[in-house]
Amino acid sequence: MALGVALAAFVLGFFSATYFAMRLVDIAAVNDHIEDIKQIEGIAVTYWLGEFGEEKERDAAAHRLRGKLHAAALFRSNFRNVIAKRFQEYVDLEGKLFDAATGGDFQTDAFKPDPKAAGLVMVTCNEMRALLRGVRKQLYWAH
Amino acid sequence: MEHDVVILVSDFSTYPSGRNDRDGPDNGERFRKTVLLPAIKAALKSGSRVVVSLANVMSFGSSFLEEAFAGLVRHESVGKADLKRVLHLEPGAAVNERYKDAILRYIDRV
Repeated sequence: MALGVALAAFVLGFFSATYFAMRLVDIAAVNDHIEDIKQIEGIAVTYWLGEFGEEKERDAAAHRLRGKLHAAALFRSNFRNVIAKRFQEYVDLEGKLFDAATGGDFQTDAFKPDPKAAGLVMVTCNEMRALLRGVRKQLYWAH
Repeated sequence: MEHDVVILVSDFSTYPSGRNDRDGPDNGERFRKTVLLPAIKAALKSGSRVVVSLANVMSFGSSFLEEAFAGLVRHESVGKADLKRVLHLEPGAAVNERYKDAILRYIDRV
């Protein structure tokens, strides 16, 4: 009898520890992605407000922005289960951010600073962070 | 039905950018005119599909994608429905799913 209780306690403890560890990994991924979005926002706003001295600095900002956006896209595929029910909402916002950050005259000779694009990037990044914070809150509850 | 025509964007460039020749050689207009349009026209005639693989490309800007794909409808008089019928996009990697979504969105917006 005592052995059975001990075994049951061990199995329960093992699975609950594993479950909580997995939730912690998900929460860490959400936190990392929120940080990614902050960085994307910073680079994109700098780019679209034209806050650089020379053309090569503008080019460098464009390359940084593309690279960061590309790298951050992995979250969508690797953590689809974390976003769960809000996946489509997230995908729509991600598309909106991609269009705002790299659309119009991005990386073209016709580039001109575009405060409207900068504003749209800021709003969209804020919406994405709000969504991710909501997801994180759900994960804490699950925790 | 003819065999599918497969286009690897990476054969054109692994780092495409810009809309036209003023923006560099690997631009959307050049990709559209030299690679996409001939394949799409041939596919419409033969009833085959054009499979465009986005694999092995180190990111896209939406200006390139918009000019290359939506430009087929806007500048080359390819019908939107015809284009969506023959064009088949292969992301090639999970990280490229976003670009596939973007291309379809830009075609719809024209």
